[in-house]
Amino acid sequence: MKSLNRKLFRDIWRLKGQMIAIMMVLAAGVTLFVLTMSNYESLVVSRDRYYERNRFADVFAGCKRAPRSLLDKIAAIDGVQHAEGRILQEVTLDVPGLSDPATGRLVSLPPNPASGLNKPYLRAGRFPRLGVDDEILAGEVFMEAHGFQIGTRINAVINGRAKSLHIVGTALSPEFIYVLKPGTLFPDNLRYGVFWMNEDSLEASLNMEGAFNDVTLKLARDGSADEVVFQLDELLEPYGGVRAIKRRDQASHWYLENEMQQLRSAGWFIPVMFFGVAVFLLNLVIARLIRAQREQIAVLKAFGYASSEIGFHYLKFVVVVVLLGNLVGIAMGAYLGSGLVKVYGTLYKFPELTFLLSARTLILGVLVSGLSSCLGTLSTVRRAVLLPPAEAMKPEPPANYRPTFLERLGLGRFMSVQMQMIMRNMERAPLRTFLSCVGIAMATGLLVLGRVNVDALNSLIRVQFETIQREDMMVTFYEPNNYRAFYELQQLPGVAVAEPLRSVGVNMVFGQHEKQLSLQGVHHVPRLRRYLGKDMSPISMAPEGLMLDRFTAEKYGIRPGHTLTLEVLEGSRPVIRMPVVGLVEELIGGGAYINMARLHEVLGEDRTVNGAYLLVDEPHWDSVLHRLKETPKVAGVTIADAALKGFMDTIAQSLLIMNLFNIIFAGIIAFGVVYNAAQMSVGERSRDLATLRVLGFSRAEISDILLGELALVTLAAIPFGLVLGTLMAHGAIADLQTEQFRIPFALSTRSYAVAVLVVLLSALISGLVVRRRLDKLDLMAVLKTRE
Amino acid sequence: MNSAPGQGEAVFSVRGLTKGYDMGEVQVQALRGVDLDLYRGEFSVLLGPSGSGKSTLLNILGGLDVPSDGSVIYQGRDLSRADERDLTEFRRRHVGFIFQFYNLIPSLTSRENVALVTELADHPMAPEEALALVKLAHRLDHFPAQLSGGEQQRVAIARAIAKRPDILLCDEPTGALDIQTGIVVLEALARINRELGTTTAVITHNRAIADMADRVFSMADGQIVDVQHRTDKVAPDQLAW
Ligand SMILES: Nc1ncnc2c1ncn2[C@@H]1O[C@H](COP(=O)(O)OP(=O)(O)OP(=O)(O)O)[C@@H](O)[C@H]1O
Ligand SMILES: [Mg+2]
Repeated sequence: MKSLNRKLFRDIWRLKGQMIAIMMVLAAGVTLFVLTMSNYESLVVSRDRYYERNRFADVFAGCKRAPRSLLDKIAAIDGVQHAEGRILQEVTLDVPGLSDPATGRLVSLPPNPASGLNKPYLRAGRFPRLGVDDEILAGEVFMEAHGFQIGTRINAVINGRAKSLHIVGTALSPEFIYVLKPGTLFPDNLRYGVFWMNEDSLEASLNMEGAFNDVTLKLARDGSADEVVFQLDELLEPYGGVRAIKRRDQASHWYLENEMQQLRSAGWFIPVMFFGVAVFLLNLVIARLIRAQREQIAVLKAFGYASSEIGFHYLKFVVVVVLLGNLVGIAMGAYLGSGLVKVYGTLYKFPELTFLLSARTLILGVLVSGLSSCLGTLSTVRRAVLLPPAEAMKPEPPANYRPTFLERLGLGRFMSVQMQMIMRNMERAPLRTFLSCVGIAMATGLLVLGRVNVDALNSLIRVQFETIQREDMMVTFYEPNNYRAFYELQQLPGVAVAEPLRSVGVNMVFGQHEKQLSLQGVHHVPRLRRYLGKDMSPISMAPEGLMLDRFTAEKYGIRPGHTLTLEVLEGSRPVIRMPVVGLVEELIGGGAYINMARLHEVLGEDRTVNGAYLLVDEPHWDSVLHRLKETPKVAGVTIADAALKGFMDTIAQSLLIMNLFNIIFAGIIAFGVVYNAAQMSVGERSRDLATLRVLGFSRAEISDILLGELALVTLAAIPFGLVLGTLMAHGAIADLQTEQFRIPFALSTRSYAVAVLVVLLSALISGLVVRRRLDKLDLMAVLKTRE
Repeated sequence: MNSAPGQGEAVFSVRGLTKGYDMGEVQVQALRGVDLDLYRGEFSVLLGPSGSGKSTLLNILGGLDVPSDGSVIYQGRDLSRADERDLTEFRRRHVGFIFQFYNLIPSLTSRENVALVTELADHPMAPEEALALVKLAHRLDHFPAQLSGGEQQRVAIARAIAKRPDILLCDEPTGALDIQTGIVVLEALARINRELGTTTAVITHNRAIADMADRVFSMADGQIVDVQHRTDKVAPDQLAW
């Protein structure tokens, strides 16, 4: 077998350009696979270890106020291993160096935090001392966002009273890996933070002695979460219980899990596309190789090489590409992966996030790329196996050229000789031409797909902050207030427009479905917070009837005309029955909407408000924020621009990196496809081309023929690629729709232009490389050899 | 070693051999009932017009192809009933082929082209030895593209004989060569036949070559129409070209 292997290596060396191009496509796939899978696994393992060590709870439930004695009953529920009552409270913070008020989520620490659930992980400093009522632990992201040191004091308004709090330590928590203020889109670590305070201090501040307003449970190994949730709801019901949730629906966990699953599916989907392209290119090259080596194959058979040996010989081309591709891909993937894990480390705060590249990931990567390549080329390799030795001795019959379709239409005389040759060549190898088109279209599509996240995000931000949320700030009160509170805000110097905010929690009942959502009062034609209709333009609120966000409506099969029952969860708890008169497109969250006047009417109240939307003149921002901070009624202020900016800084960065990757990888595909198509044409037709040169055609004229063919294929493929990319992008965006976010589909002209540009550039580069080969075409050698 | 015609042991015994090619509507009869025996150590030549079935016959003898009907007995084994695996084994152990267009592997040097075959054989010569036999000891590390046509054909001969085959089948070995080079190649064939006792069959269009054969078969229209036994063999350089 030695000499046959020598042949293998020399053939590979001769085809090195093509082999490397294919190897790069495969390596790109392996790189992405290793990169994403190693990070996915690192995240899963580190997260699970974190959850385990810090005893992240399995079930969470809030209530208004329940006596501690209830905890025994809760702990006695079948399937509960451990129950812990605690106090959660959102408070307004006056943070040094921040003009607008921030929101803090205070979490009570049990007397011995080490034995409790959801244990904070101390990063620096110490736990608050028992009996000292102004010491707190602060979440690390908040501390980092402000650049605070331990020892910093911040002021909080707790239960209407100002209190100075002393930060004595920083901590992480499995419960707040993803720190997101409820109801907002992006993490804003400047204005929202988590803080831990001793239980007795918090109890005293909130008059909650001997009581709790939140309970978390650890389930026994065989405990049924559903059953526990059901019984817990029953127990908490008399104490203003808000429906219990399982860990699956816990906000931080849910976001984390969602991102991790996206990482995982990207880790499969995109590499598999790369492997597909590699298989396709391998098929082209090997089919061509076997065709060119018919006689060599026949000789090998004549001298007694078994068909299986010959088949294996050609399969080795694939194996070499797979091995090299995996070597490069694993090295790159491991290198980039260990870098990406650091990015994740700053994004999600785990006590430790160790890079893990498991044997499983490696084996899986090698197996998937190897098997797909080998199986994908098997039928092509079989052609060599099946070639009858006697048959192969006869030279291949001359290629069957004929006038092309266009020429048959009589258009031939409008075409130059070169053009005719190009067209005939393409018609003669329709499958190859088609497959090259598919390859280039795939590269184009991948580029388009890679841009959709940026475009969709931009469009989400534009729609949300330009069309829907036109206010500068949203102010929320601790409790419903009478209209005077709204007037006070409206009268603040600098407030240009103010709009009242009124919403109540309701339990929606439709058929067997029940769902808690918020019912929003909306003015007939709102000026600041607006609501969008089907065509994404603002709508006006009908005087009668309900509107519902489309996602919720579709989820429960509710259509305009259906009548809903809404059980209001506050005040005198009236029950409303009303028809749905329209649907609202919400991007974030969602709920039910009703005319403001009608809402006051059904609640039997006189223009009550929960808060207000404000439009503030630029120079007065600071003074307005300052006044708001000093207003005890105000529970929180949400500033749209600030939240957006903080988010853009972190996420946009990683999206940009992803995009660069995308462009490089899709460029590799485009280059691989065009380059291989070109090399193959040169190989197949070097005789014809050399003959043309002998006949007096210039170098430029013969390269026109070849490059013209490439240009035609590329140009023909691009529109299909754009369509393909758009379709894939639609699929990807549809996959991202969740109960929390509806991401609007968007692809900008710029994105299409980038895709086209990258593909054209790759095609141009491969064209130049081939052009160089043509220029070096040795006329004599080509005409002398018989192939 | 030279067996006299009609004597010695028949290496090949062919009876009633037919070969048809199904070409859709028409049936091409390439061979229509060929009977022939080839004896050990004999040098035979196959003559005949183009399309008379010479290559078809040779391919079947060499186990490259199977007949439609009839039998080919090689040392007691019926090749017409052999399967793909047996035919491969047969070619590997017993047959050396030489083709009109040399069919060397372009990516391998002379030495490697020969080694390609010796690696499969049980008692091969060293590739260098085989190349020396065809007077190419000085071209061991040349690639086919760096050799003349005659040199390439001699490499092909070295490749065919290096495994000491029992039979050597040559399909127009001099077809692509000029007279001088053709004679060098034929001398190499004659020497191997003489010195190694290899049963040799050569297809040619050149009647002159028949003068160096022990027996000459003439084919026409898929049949053997004439067999000449020669007693007055001449050396290749004496051939009246
Ligand atoms: N694979 C095939 N399919 C159809 N017909 C074939 C095939 N191989 C050979 N033939 C036909 O069989 C006949 C004999 O062919 P063969 O190659 O044996 O002739 P030949 O005597 O070697 O001719 P030449 O001297 O030209 O090489 C011819 O008519 C040829 O057309
Ligand atoms: Mg022939």
